Amino acid sequence: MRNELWALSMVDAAALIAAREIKPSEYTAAALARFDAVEPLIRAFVSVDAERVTHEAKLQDDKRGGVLHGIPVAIKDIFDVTGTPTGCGSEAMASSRPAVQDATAVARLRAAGAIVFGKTTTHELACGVYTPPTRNPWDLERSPGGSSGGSGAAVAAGVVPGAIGSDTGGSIRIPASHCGLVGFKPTYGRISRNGALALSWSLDHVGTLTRTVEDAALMLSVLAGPDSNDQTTLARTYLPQPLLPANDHVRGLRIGVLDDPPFAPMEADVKQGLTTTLKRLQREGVEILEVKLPELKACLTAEFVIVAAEAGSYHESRMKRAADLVGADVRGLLETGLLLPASLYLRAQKTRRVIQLALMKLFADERLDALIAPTVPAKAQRWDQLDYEFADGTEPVIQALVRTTAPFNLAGLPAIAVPAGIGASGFPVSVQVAARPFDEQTALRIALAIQRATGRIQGPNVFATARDN
Amino acid sequence: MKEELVAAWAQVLGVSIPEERLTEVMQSLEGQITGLGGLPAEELEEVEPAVLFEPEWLE
Repeated sequence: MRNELWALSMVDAAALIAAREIKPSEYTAAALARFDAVEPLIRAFVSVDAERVTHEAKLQDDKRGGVLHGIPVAIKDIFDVTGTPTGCGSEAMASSRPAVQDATAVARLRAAGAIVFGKTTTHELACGVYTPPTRNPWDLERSPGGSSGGSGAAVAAGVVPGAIGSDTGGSIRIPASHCGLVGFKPTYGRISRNGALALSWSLDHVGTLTRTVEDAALMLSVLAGPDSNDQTTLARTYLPQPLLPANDHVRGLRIGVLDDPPFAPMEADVKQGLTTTLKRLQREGVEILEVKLPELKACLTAEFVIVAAEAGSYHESRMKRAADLVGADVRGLLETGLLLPASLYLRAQKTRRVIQLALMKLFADERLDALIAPTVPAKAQRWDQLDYEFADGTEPVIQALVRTTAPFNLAGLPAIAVPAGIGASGFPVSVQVAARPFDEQTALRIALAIQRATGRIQGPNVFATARDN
Repeated sequence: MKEELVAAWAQVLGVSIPEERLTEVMQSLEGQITGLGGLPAEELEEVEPAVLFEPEWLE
């Protein structure tokens, strides 16, 4: 087993460490060995300080700690980690000084005993769906998605069992779908954004990428909670404990299916994955309802206007100082955002309110516990791929990937992406479950039922992928 | 929309956009404005935007 410690889930590894069957230093050494083996292929990390990681793990060997005692975790390079620059994937931030304080999410992971393994790549300024130079472990010629692509690739390739990322319009769930992982964006305000680069204040969510639903629940239980440095986290409903009760079942839950636009069109594999998942849930006693939400027709436009305006404002001084150092795709968005009229931004925020109210009404009228939809409509894009081909035409990649994820950023609902199997094309497909605000527990329970019924998908064989390419 | 208009608008707002980028920015801006920011105004009457100011002091 020692050779395959890296393949353990976070929950299993934590249990073995707590039982003193393995030491944090052994587990971390396995992670470092895995890193050495796969990192040249996937290029998921910005920095890993192997000496520090080894030292911290050894210090933990003879101690007892929190629920993540001795567990290595990866941090998207938009979160401050003491002593490390926060580069945000941008030349414009390459000269950043080392952070003097951990982001709140990082501090909470450490307080629970986790070891910061390293910082992962992000699409520049957390704004994009490709995350160069990182490769998808399922096919090195494809993108892991983004913007939390490094976190996705690192977890999928088995370097670490979990990572944190951010999700403004799908930036956790897109890599989760592309890499065959569980990606969890809890409710807006559930996890502090303090110490993380903003893309769009009102849409940014902090969340996790893991290989199992149980691991997502474990990480959430550590990360959630009020933080005086992020006002949106204050006075919120506490998470129930345990988040995933033993012998839980989903019988009697009512789930609405969203498969009209903007969730359609979708590739055949994705449609098949969704259909199969619905049948599996029905067998578990879940009541499935076809629902319509025509208000979502405007979600993508509203999302892009809000992101452009808020990101433009956030980076305004940086654009004056160092616009030439920002990549063309992100630069265009920031420049556009700085020129948008206020009326357009406010109209987008009104549209957002309409979408939020429509979702609330839908949950109430249909007595829904959750919604289910494809996470993204297509498999991971190739590096040079700009458009997806659907039955009724082509669509830019960024538009296709964000149209299915953005509705739950706009509404701030908890949404979890969970693998629904491997499609006929050989790539993972994913569905997302969204629940009422601050009802992460229901989203997790349904995701667990899907994972149980689907079976944990076998991770990618990175080395075989490299040979094939 | 014209590039000259975008250039003038950017200048008024103090946003520096090199000449060679004007076409791209104009197209992007045009796309956003054509999209109306979401739903048409008639469907948004009396809707309060999702912008919240919290007046409480958290001391």
